[in-house]
Amino acid sequence: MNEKAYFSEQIRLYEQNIYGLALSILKNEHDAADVMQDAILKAYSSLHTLRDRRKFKSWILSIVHNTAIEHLRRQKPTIDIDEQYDLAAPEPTVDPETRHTVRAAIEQLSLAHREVIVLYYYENYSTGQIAEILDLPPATVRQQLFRARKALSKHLNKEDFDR
Amino acid sequence: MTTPSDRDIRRQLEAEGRPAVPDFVHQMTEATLAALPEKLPVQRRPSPFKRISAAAACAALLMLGVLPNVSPAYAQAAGRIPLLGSLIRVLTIRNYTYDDGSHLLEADIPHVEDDDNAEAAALINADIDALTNAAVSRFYHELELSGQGYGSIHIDYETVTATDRWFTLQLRVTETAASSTTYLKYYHIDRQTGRHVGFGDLFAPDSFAALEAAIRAEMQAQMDADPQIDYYIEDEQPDGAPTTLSADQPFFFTENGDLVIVYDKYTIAPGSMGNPAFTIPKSVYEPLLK
Repeated sequence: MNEKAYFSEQIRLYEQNIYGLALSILKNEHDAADVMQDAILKAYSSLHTLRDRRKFKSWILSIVHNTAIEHLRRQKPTIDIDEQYDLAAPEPTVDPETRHTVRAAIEQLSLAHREVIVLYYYENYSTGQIAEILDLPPATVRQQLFRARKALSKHLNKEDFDR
Repeated sequence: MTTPSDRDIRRQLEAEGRPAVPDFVHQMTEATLAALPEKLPVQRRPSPFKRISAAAACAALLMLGVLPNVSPAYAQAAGRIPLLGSLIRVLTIRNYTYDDGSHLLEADIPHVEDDDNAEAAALINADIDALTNAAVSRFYHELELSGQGYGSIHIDYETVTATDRWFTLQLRVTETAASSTTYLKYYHIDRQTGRHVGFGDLFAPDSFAALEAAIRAEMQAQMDADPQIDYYIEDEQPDGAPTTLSADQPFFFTENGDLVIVYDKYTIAPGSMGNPAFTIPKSVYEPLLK
């Protein structure tokens, strides 16, 4: 199998994971699609830097993360993306009569919390692996995960888990 | 409500399912894959400091000759730094700049001039030329492949040691594309022997374990002192990267003779920690020298 065939196979295998992470950062399917294209091109041109091919998934997700953050910076140059990582989630108003999905609640979280939740719960990565993907200290990831869970609870009712 | 448990969240997300990939996104992915060139644009080894072929270097130079907006300024440029009287000098022999708003190249390429150790200086200069030409070549390959993307390469240098015994030049290459990586290469001239030496010339493989034990002890001490510091110790290295030292290990000696071992970014710690460096006192490493 040549490099292009191998790369294409891996991208198809993880297409949903790639799209899910891009969407969680950008919250817009068209922006997510643009970032996916850009990330695929970058990844292919950097394939020689992937030392252990068993790590393809975390490697491509790291590229998607960086590409999406770059996309946000270009789209909203007046917003300090790094600052977004320090922002607490906005205080939500939850209607106790309404049923909410966890996925919808995740969309309400801050950027940093959304990413950590997606990588931890959808992709089943450890906090150490997430730290590697996001290029953050593990202690920071653990703290973000703790805060993200707490923030998530503000967007959900107890009944949302009882279905 | 109270904070949901891990189990609650996982169970609920499983029941809800992942976001499906829309058809138009899938079609875009397939179109992107179909448009990829059959061959990788650059066949690069993990570290740019490995030996590269003369053909690649020649190709890089040829490419630079035909590309627009490149301004190599030869010699006499900034950075003429006299060192150790008139014996050893470091010159910026070329600099490259390119900036189109999305792609940035800034490179100061040094050469070493050493009247007493001309052969060692020539070996160093040849290696600097080979790897910096390769890095610049990668930049233009990337530019051609993804003209809409973003990327930068920054190359600079610094004299880190200039003593009666050692002259050491650090070359730093920072490449930013999908992620940012900084490689450090150290060139040494042993002024007692006049030789260009590497780690393997000073330490035999059977001494690596003892040196590594000292490094691991320092890693642990740093982690104990600061919870923000996290090294991959034992079996936690990413990508199977060893902490084992090698004959081409980056290193330098401090002014007072201590040994500093430097690791590439990502190899023994998360990328956020940059290029970790560990100091080994002279009393520890000296008995281990060849």
